[in-house]
Amino acid sequence: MRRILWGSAIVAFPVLLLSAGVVGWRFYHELENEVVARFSGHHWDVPSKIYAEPLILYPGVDASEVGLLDQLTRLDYRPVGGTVQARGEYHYDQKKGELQLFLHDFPLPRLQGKVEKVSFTLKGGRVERLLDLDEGTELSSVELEPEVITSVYDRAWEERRVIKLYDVPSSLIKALLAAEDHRFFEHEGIDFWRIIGAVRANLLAWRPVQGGSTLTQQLVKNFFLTQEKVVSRKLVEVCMATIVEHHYSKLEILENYLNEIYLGQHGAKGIFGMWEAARIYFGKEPRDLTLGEIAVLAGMVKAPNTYSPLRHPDRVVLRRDYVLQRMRELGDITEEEYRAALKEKIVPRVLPPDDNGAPYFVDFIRKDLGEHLPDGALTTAGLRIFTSLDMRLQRIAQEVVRAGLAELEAKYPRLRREKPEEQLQACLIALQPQTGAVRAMVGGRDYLTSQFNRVTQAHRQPGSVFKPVVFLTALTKEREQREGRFLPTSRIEDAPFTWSFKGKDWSPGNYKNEYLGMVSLRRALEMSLNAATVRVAQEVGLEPIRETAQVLGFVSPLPLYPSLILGAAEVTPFEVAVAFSTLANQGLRGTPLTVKRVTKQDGEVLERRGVEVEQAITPEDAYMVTHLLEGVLERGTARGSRQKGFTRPAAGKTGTTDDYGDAWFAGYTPDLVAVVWVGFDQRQSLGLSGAQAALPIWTNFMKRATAGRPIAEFAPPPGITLVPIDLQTGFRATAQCPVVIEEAFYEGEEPTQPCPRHAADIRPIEAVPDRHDNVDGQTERIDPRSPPLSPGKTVHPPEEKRPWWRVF
Amino acid sequence: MCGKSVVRLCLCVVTLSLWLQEERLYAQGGSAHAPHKSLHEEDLTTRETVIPGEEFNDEATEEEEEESEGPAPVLPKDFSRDQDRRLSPSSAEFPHPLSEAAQPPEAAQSPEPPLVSSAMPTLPAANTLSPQDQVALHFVEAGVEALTREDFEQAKEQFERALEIAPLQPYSYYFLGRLAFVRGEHKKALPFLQRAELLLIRGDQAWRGEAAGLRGAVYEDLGDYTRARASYRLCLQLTPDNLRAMSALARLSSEEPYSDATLPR
Repeated sequence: MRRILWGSAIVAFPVLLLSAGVVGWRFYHELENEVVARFSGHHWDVPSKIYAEPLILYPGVDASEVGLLDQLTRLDYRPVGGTVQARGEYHYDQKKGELQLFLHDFPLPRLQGKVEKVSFTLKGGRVERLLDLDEGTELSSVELEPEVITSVYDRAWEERRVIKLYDVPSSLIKALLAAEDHRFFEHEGIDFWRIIGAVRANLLAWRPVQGGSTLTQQLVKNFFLTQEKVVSRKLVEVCMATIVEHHYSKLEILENYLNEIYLGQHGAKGIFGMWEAARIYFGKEPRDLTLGEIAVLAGMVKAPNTYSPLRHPDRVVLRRDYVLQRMRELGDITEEEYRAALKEKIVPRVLPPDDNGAPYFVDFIRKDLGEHLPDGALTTAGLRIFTSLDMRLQRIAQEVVRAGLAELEAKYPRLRREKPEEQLQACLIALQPQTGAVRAMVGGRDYLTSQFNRVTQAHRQPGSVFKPVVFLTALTKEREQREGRFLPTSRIEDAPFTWSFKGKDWSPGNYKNEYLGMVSLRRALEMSLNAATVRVAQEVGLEPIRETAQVLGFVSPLPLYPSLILGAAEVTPFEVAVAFSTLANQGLRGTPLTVKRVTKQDGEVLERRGVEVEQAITPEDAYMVTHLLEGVLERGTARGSRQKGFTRPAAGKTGTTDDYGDAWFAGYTPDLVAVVWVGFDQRQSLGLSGAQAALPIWTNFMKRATAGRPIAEFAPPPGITLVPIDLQTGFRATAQCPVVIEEAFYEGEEPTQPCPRHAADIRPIEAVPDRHDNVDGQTERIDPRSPPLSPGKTVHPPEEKRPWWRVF
Repeated sequence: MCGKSVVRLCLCVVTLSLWLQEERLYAQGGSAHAPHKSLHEEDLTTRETVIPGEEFNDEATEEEEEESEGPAPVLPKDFSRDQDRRLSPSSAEFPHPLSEAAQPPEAAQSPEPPLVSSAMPTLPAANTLSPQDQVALHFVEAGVEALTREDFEQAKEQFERALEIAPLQPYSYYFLGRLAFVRGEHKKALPFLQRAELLLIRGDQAWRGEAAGLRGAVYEDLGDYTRARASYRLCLQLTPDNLRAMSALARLSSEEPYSDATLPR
């Protein structure tokens, strides 16, 4: 029996051994294929970054207005006591009025010449002089690197920038090896001596105090495996480490390690790789790190959050000193270097807030680019997306929207809602009309509560904001014929009436059912008189009005019903902004510009978008409407804006829908258009007009957004004549006329007859000093107050003979 | 096993001998395979064969040949598409298209005509402008430099930047229009030039005239001779000694009868 057993064992042992060998070989071979395939094809998912418009500084710019010091903090510059020595440092000497700046190394495509160190001389808060500190030459302007709005992540929020080994200082590699694996260049992936040492140390301490993993093992674990502490995973890790060492050079492994390693958290984002860690913890690039800082980073690998300089600076000192000591023992640094590094102070940095400053805008861009770029490119390819957003205006927009809504709720408690999703909402969009550049976009009250972008996605009735389209059509229709056309002084009856359209009667009513009787076209628009507007539209026709709207930039369907005239067709605030920017830009319609350039990390341009403009309407037509809309702020429904201190030349229109569900204000200066909408998503009634709800937000925004900019006026183009007229009668003003305004006419259509009502001195005046400079040099307006028209009181038209240019 | 080894050894010997022979030939300057060129060398070779602006010169030659078949215009077509894309310093330098001097010289010998004319009015002195306008003007100047060296993307970038900084300054509009014209995007050029003219109404009349003249050239290229004439006339009204506009008007009057009734408002 025993012989049989021995015989079987002798036969079975080689068979089993062979089988185990075959299985082992097969396992190893499969593992090898997997490792090689994944390691060779491995690339990191580097999030793309979305940048705002860079800030340009030049002599004359108001440093406090643009928030220069805040901007430097947001751009990760750190203040130093003396002269700037390294990239990312600035020194501000308030007494001398001098600011020195060592610019970050950012590949700005537009930078004229490479400037590193700049000195700003400040006087009275303004930049007086710019100097290149290296060359000693004067500079015309300095462009700071653009502010990052946000990074675009996939599921994992990994912040990383890939670095090449030759960009890493050798001392960082030495420090890392000293701290983690000093026999890295000697072993084959497994360091048996280290394992034995670790087991001994752990047994002596009777708890895990030392690990035996090499850099290769750590890399393999991060690349392929979980953090689970089981024997089977450890065995696989050992096998994989051996395979990696067999197939790849030590330098390749090291480069991968430097980019892969996890080094702590910044908010919700994980910090991966040495480049990102150097930026987050020290605000520097790896090449600019000091020896002490290098030792800190190398020491962090063991336990990134325990040894984080942001959280535990005291623990960090001990760990840094240990790393420096190891480096000295290994001969990597001299005694002097060691002592100097020990003296370095570790000051926890105050990181700029890590929030997305324009979440709705970012969503808009992601959607836009998602249609052009390959799937996943945004979240993995590390692209740089340069946009038109002005972060200063964006912050102002967010603040005024938030404050405006809070003010409305405080003033009208009935607007308050318990549930966050039912709260009062508002949105704001600002465009630069000349370029179409979107400067600010706030799509709602709070992005965390609601990601619905009301600027681009909410289709709401524009109400009276649509009226300029009607009046533009009325002024320009059949330009060739003088008769039958409207002029700003044309008289229209503002009284209840009924329009029979396709067998149905429609009776538009005025705001608060107040009618003014015979009014001028100007007055009808300034006071937003529905009945008068509909009478104009009835003469003009619906089809031309719709055509004009489409030419201006409305793209939503505009059904041909009479209610279209009063803004019943639903449009987005974005469309309204485009249409008004066409008016502001003298008839040139700019294609909205958000993304200006998309580049790869190496600077290769993938996509570039420029300014695209098209002549939609003539400059004369645009000016005529603008001139009327200026009156809305001077004498009309938006005069509250002037009372709140916004004095710049501006034009605009209030909008309120029938059920008070939507409150609008759309307005512009010659170089900035802004549209504000206020309402409930559930379309409940606000009970407030555009002038009450939206205008205050618009005014606050424009006051702050245009502060410090030169005051620009709307200049009449050739073909337009400005004539002083009597506001009440529309005749050419005489010296006796009490209220005189400058009215715009197409050349040859201006009135020549002097005002008969104030005919004591019949000589017509040639010009009206509408605006003049006061002693302080600030623009001041003579108040051309409205004629005494009390609401609800019908004013009879003057008895005098009507002028030839309009018989109505 | 042994046989395979022998075969491998033989192959190695043959390969080695072939390689040695090739090396020897190469050393004598008569190699069968040319050595790899460096990138720099390749660039130089390319530059020898492709002459910058050759395509343009060919195009100009063809057009002039076509013109020579028809009636010879009295004055040169100075604002015409091809010539104005690379504006000459002044119209006086343009000889008669049929004269000897007008024959296109060899592309390799002739210097590239400039894209930005030296006959243009000078840009205003920076110290007369607001800070925004001053810095915008620097970007305009940088754009003009880029335009001169035919770096159109960079030029566009600079002009657009100038426009963003000072949106009511006319020069960025003018040069954006000029750039579009140079690139053959005539319809894009028009709104920019019109806007430049509007902004120059109360400004430098020489520049307004320049913009009007260029707009005339755009219209002429588009075949809208009526508008072209009107623009040239405006140009002459603003800058009476503008020879280019004079010559263009003279040329246009011989091409199509003039009609005031069709003039734009």
